[in-house]
Amino acid sequence: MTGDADFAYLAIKLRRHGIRVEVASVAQNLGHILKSAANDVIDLAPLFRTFEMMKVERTIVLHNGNHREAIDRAAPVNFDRTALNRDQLQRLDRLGVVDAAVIDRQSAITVIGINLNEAFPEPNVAPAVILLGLDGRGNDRINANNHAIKMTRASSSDSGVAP
Amino acid sequence: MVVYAGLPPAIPTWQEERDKKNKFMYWLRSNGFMVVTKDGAPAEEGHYKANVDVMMAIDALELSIEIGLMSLSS
Repeated sequence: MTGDADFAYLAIKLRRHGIRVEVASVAQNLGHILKSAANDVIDLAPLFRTFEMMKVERTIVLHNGNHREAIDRAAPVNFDRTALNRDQLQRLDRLGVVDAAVIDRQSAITVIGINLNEAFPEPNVAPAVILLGLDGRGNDRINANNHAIKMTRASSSDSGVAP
Repeated sequence: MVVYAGLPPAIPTWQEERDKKNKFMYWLRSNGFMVVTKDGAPAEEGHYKANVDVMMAIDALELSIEIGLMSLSS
């Protein structure tokens, strides 16, 4: 989810490995090199228009009767899912956007609603990319320290030379 | 040895600078360096933008399968 044209190189690399690349960005921030490098482009502008601006309300809270503290309270984001067509809803769900939770109690400073079941609809994508990077020779080289040193010590001890 | 270089944009304004840098790239290639270049994009007056950081990171990830030690200098 970026429009930075520097990622065009990554998109091309991924496509060479047979991975489909979709770029989600706003049109004015999308570099044309990245646009041409990707399989498809998702324009986020219509999605952003469905959001209302968050209203931040500053309230004064009294602690122990004498300590005054200002708290910024973010109003929950409301958007009407019925106003979106099927394609927009599908893309909305793909991005993991869910309705904000409504908590019926006092002093909820900030309400963040995350449905983990919907937030990661394609959990196998990231592991596939990671495995692609690691599964070359069966040696992931995560601990790359002193393999060469061990070899040197082994060979030098065989030849009787002090390391 | 790999050299990453950002080139001036391929537009007439930057052509002279680009030719100078291309000569250096030619010298590097002729002397055994592998050269990876990226065309820059015009930025504010008298400057251009050519970041090779993402290219280096991706290539480093690929090379990490083959090699055990990588040295970066700039």
